[in-house]
Order: sequence, then structure tokens, then C-alpha cells
Amino acid sequence: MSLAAELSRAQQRQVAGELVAEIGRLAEKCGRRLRFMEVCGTHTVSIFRAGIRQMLPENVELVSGPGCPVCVTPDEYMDKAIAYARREDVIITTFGDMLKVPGTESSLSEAKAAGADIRIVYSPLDSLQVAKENPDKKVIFLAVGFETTAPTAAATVLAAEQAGLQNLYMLSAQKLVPPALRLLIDDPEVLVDGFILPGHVSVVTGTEVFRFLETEYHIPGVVTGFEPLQILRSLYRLTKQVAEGEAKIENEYGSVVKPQGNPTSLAVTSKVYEPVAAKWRGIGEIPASGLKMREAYKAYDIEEVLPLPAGQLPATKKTGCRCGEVLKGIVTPHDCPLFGKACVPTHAIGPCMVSVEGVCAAWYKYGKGIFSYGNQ
Amino acid sequence: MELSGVTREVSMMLLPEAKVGDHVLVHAGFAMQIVDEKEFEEMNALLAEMHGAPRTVNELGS
Ligand code: SF4
Ligand code: SF4
Repeated sequence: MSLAAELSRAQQRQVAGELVAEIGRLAEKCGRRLRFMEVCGTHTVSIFRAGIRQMLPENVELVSGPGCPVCVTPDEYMDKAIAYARREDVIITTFGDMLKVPGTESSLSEAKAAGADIRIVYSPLDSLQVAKENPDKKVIFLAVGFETTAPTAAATVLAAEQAGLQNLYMLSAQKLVPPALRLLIDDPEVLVDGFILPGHVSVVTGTEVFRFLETEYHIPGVVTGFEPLQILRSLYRLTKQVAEGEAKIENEYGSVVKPQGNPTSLAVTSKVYEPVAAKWRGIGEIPASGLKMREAYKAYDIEEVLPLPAGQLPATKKTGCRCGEVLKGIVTPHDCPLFGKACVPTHAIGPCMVSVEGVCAAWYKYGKGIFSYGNQ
Repeated sequence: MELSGVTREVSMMLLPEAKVGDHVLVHAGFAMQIVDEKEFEEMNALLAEMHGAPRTVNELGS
């Protein structure tokens, strides 16, 4: 049951108003401008839709971090996916938002238009059916996502193993959130007073994985859901912590986030995957921030089974896209000279403009959003 | 399983403990967590706290 369904619009507006007033009052006590970062693309979208940035007092600023799995996927990964897609003997299965993400030279949707067999799936499990129906093809699922998606890909591998399927593979670029937070905090250019922690990621990981924020960095973090009121609540919590000199991990999404997370999901992920250094777009390589398939599951890793010949991938080139800095919250999309000009959602230069959860796309679409409940 | 009125197949592989009738959070075709309907109470507790009552919203570990 959602809060929005239980409270009338007038009640919601009243609660929101009280929260905002309280946030302002607490921030005042801090005597400086506070800066909080959300690190989940769904939070970004929800914040823009509801116009939360505009309703916050002057002394509280919100910035978006690297919260969208599509945005942080580097060009090279897209180039590999495109190279596989172009093969006659391959069918690609993927979530829809990967299609328009630019690689170095083209995108999956261009490959699709040129005849590549690329199918959009709702769940990685749907790839099993595709593999069964096409025994003479190699079916490759584009396993991109954070901790929430990793177990679904891993479970798909286990299901394929159980079904004795020999033609289902993963092209993996799974990412882990906590190492990215560490890197952000360690970056002197990134100034953050607290984190709105991702709701869905925490459903799987639980809350303990974020404890290091408190113990090692003395930075507060609050796990929350995706409704505007839930986000405001987390901001209230964060501001209150800062005002009181505290730095704790709090859970405002207890309805689905348990301290231990989802142990089955965690076990399934670590059965199939192990941590590995991974490249994040615009940020670079972060130690132990990605997942690769374990030795026992190499037979499902397309890069092991069918490595792409060197030279088949285009050399990287510069586009002027500032996604990297946008994803770290150092600049806003408006600081990118291409924003709204050369780069718009229908013709995106960088991934932040492609994904519906991308920061630039959210700025473009909701940049002038005003606070209004129910008009979503 | 019914998803906002639409019936879809959802895998219970990652949430074997869920029972028929439980509300579950679904991600990419997998049930991920049983939903505990205490949101509303949390909000009430928060409002009470803002009006001076002692802190009640779950605090981890403490
Ligand atoms: S945690 Fe889930 S909802 Fe949030 S950005 Fe990642 S995939 Fe999207
Ligand atoms: S506006 Fe476009 S080019 Fe500029 S940072 Fe955003 S995605 Fe990249």
C-alpha cells in the first residue's frame, strides 16, 4: 500500500510542507549550505517529477550521483554488445533502455535497424525461452545493473544450467554501489554532507553494506523509497543528523528493506559472480566495484566462450560529453555546452541523456518541474 | 501473480520464503522482498516525533 494512496492530496501537501519547513529550520542551525546526493536513478526521476529541488530551502542542495546503471556503463561495453549483435549466430536479449545508448560509433538500435536480432525482455529469465526456441543461435543477455539486477542474472544462469541449456550467455557489466560511494567521498572535488541511499539496491544488500559511511567517513546515509514524501523524509533525517553532528545509517524504507537484505539473492549472486575491478563511465576503474562470472560458470560468460578479436572494436574518441562530472555531482547538466543543443533525448550524445533515469534526461524533461502531487 | 492489475509470471527463485497472499516487491520478473505494510505507521511516528515525541522510526543496529 503506498502512502500516496492512504493520504489525501491535501494531507500529503501538508506533510510535505511541514517536512520542508523542518528541513529548513534544521539546516539553518548548521550555518552553511548542505549538499546531499542521491545515488539511484529512480530517486533522481522522482525528485525531478515532484519538483523537490525547487521546494527545498536555499541552504539545502540536492545533487545526483552515479545512480543509473545505463549511464555508468562505458562505451567499450556498448561496443562489445554491438559487435556481438552484428554476428549472424547471435541473438541479444536486453532491457529496453540499453538500445539507444551510444557506443563509440553506433548504438544497438542502429544495429537492430541494420538487421541484428535484438530482443527486449522484461526479465532476464525471458532469455531462457528465446534460447530454447533458437537452439542454433547463441543467446546473449546484456547483464547490466546494480546489486538488484545481479541476482536476477545469476538466477537466470542457474536456471539455464538446470534446464541443460547450452546456448545462453551473459555479457556482464554488473556494478556495485558501495565502492563507488567510497570513490566519490575520496574525491576532493566531490563535496557531500550525506547520501540518500538507494531503495532497491538495499532491498537486496541490506543496510549493513553502507555502515562504512558512518564508521569510516562520518557521513550520514538514509535508505528510502521512491515517493516524494519518502524522499523528503530522508532529507529531513539527513539534515537532522548533520544539525546534531551525527552520522548514522538509517532506514526509512523498512517496509521492504531489512538489515540483512535478501539472503537468497546474495547467495545466488555470489554463487555465480565474484567481485572484480570495473570501469565506470566518466569515473574510471574502481577496485572491486563490478562482478565477473566465477570459474565454475565460465561456460556462460560470452567473453570467455567467444572472445571478440582485437581490432574489431572501435578506438575510443572524445565527444565533449561531461557525463563523468555530471555523474559525480561536480557539474550540473547545464554546465555541459551540448545540453539541450546538440544533446537532447531524441539525439543523445551521452548516456545520461538516453536513459530515462539519466541525470541529463531528467534535467531536460523536468528541469522546471513544480511541486505537485498526483500529476505524475 | 497479479501486478497492478496485470497478471504476469513472477519467479519466486530469489524469495522462496514468500507465501500465497503476501505482497511482494518485484524487480525484473523476480519477487525480491515481502512487503511489510508498516509504512503508514512509520509516517505517523515521524509526524509525532516532529511534534516532540521521542524518536521511534527504526534505527539500525544501535
Ligand atoms: S536501484 Fe533499481 S531503481 Fe534504483 S537506479 Fe538501480 S535499478 Fe534503478
Ligand atoms: S548533456 Fe549530453 S553530452 Fe552533455 S553531459 Fe549530458 S549526456 Fe553528456
